[in-house]
Amino acid sequence: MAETEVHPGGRSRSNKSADGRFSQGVTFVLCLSLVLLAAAVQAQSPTLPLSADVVRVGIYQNSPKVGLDPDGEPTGIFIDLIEAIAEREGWQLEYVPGTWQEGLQRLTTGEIDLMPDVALTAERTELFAFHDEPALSSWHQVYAPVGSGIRSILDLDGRHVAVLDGSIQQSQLDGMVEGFGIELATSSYPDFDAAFEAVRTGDADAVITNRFFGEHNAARYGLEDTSVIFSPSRLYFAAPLTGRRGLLEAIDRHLVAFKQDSQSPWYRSLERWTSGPPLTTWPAWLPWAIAAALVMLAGGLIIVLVLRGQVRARTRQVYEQARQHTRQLERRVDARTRELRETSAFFQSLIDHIPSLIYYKDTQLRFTGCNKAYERAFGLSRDDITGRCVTELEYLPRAQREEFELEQRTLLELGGSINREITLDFADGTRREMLYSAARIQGPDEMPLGIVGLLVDITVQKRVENELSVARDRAQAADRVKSAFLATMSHELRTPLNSIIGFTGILLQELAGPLNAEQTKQLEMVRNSSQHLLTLINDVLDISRIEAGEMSLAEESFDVLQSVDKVAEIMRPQAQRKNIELNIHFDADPGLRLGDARRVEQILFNLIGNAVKFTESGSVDVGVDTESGEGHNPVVITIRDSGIGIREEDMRNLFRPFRQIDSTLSRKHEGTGLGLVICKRLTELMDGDIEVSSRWGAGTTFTLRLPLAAAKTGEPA
Amino acid sequence: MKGKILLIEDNEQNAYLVSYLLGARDWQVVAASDGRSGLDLADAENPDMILLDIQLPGMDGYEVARKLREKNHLDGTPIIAVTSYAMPGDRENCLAAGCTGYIEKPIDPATFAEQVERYARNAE
Repeated sequence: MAETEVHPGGRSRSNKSADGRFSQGVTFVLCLSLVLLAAAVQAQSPTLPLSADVVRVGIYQNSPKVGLDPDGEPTGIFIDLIEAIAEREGWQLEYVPGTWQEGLQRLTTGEIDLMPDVALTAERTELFAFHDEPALSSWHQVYAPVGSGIRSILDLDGRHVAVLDGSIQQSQLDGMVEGFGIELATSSYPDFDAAFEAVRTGDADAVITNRFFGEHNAARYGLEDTSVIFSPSRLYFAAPLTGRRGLLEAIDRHLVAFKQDSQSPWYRSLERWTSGPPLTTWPAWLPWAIAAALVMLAGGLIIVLVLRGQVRARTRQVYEQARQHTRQLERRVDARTRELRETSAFFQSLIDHIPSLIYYKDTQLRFTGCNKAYERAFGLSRDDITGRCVTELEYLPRAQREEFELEQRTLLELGGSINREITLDFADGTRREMLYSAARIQGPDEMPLGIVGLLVDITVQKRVENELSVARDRAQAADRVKSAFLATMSHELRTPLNSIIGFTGILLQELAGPLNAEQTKQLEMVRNSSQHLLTLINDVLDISRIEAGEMSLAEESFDVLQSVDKVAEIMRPQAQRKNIELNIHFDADPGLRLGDARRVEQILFNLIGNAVKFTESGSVDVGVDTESGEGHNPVVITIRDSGIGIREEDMRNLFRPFRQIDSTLSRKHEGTGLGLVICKRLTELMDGDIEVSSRWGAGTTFTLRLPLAAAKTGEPA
Repeated sequence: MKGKILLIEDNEQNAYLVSYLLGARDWQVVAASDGRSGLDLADAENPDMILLDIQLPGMDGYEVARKLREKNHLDGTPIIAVTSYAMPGDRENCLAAGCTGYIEKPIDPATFAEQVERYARNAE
């Protein structure tokens, strides 16, 4: 027979030789049994000749859908159906038993014409032809030992599940298992009986089967159905793609007819093989609704699981973030703490290097710290005072402590600052004058944080201050004594001078009798000397008046030109004696001015007198002018000489008192050295100034500028 | 005789000098060497003019001037201070004490009598 030849060839493609031999053996046995079967069939109906109407139908064990009864006769729903159709179509049926896989294989090679109980899948439509009306509807269901606790697909996680070799159940189960994120092991068995037996014996935890086999056989193996139901399928007779024409169309035609007739072989067969209500009572949409519900349930579960996973992931993420934040925070706190410690140490060492006494207190006026100077001063350690009030401490007299406390409490409440001098007794027994200051420490929100106190030792300063004060008083007293002394001396000197000048004058006037020429000459010498002495005394008197700030000036109208003339005429005889020209230039007439004529003349007398005195040859030129545009048109008098000039280094001291006296004991020119000082001071009193320019050996020019107000005409000169 | 001048001056030489200069100009000079005797002489002699030194032993010139001004019979009699301006403010103090004028010491013998006579004329 053709079938016997195909399988060994087909199996020979296996690359596992041991398997191959085994398979070959099995195939041989099966073939042998088929041959015997065929012989038996032929034996039952030996008169029926093989014809074109012989339809070869594959059989495998999947009761009650299809199978062989204990006598080896084909039986089952599909057998009932095909026999009913064959009867009506006049087909002769020839059964070819084998495993499910063998059946499909034979269908491929055309060894059989029909294979019953084939679910329609996209893959199978490539290999086989199907009729349109399904023969049966079925679904897959998990069966497990009674009391296994398997309720849902999730309970299969980690379990061992028996499946039919090559069935669509396995791939469908794989897809579902993957969707639910569970893992299970599967073992393939050639038929459902073997698979159920495996569960019964404990080789597997559960088995997947179709509803028909399950319902019919579960009790036999001590198994029960679970609520795990999936993949509803429609079952057909499958034919080779290039199979005989008319077979599938005939099956379709009869199935449609059978389903419309409740007394048809289809209904009778279902009633016979299933214990439950006939399938016809099921609405057509039910499997799809169940499928949709299952898909939705699965989808829901997937969503729940996905969400749960997401929540877990998110929780992990949040937890990780929180942990990172905590770590960051801890690091920052550590860094800040370190910074704070460093800052604190920095400030402590800073204030420890300040020689003044520093302390700080909290809002309860308890010490919070102090510097080294404070510790040294009172012979204590900062730990001794920290946390305590000054009133509790012994190093200050009680009265002083209470005073501090009271004062600082007010400071804390009202703000402001304390600044006063106090006396403190130090631990070394010394009594110190201190400048005590304290201020409130305020936080960023203006809340008082405490006070800071500073004690600066001013003992030395106070002593110096006292000494300075005494010295100043003494100096002032000495100054007064000096002024009084000068005044007295001036008077005492002048009184006898009064007699000398007076009587000399009387004699020279010859009031007391005629004089000869020699007597006149000598008496004139006496008079000149006493006049000079008088000038010296007057200068000393003037400078002492000016220094005492008691020089007052007259405010009288006088003619500037007359004053210049008057002084020039007094000096002229002296100039003539030295053979010096004394020239007066009037570039402008200042007219009548308000001022102290006597003091102006005194200045001119000094300046012109000096010029004549220090010029050995040449001339002394006196110029009178006014400056325009500035207030009172100041009077400008220049005295230019061709004398010895003034050295650069002497210019500085020109207007300082007593300089000439100090430095010129051996000078040949007489004078107190007070002349220029008096000129300078008098000019300043008149709001004017004196400028001097000189070149050593080439002469000197004094410029006197006096901003005297013009007098109203008509006032007496 | 031009008139009677009371001179109050403690320095003998100066008193003689002034007396000599004024005597030469035909003035009668009566002299006192201190303030007290000066005041007595002013009462006794009823002078036409008084020349008063400020620097006097005991009672100083300012007080003498004030006391002289208290005497009714000396109303209008010029009191001329003859002062050396020894201390700042002397000039103002003289006038405040009742002096009519002042002549600076040391006196200039050539012009002294003339200065005195100018005050005498102004008082008339």
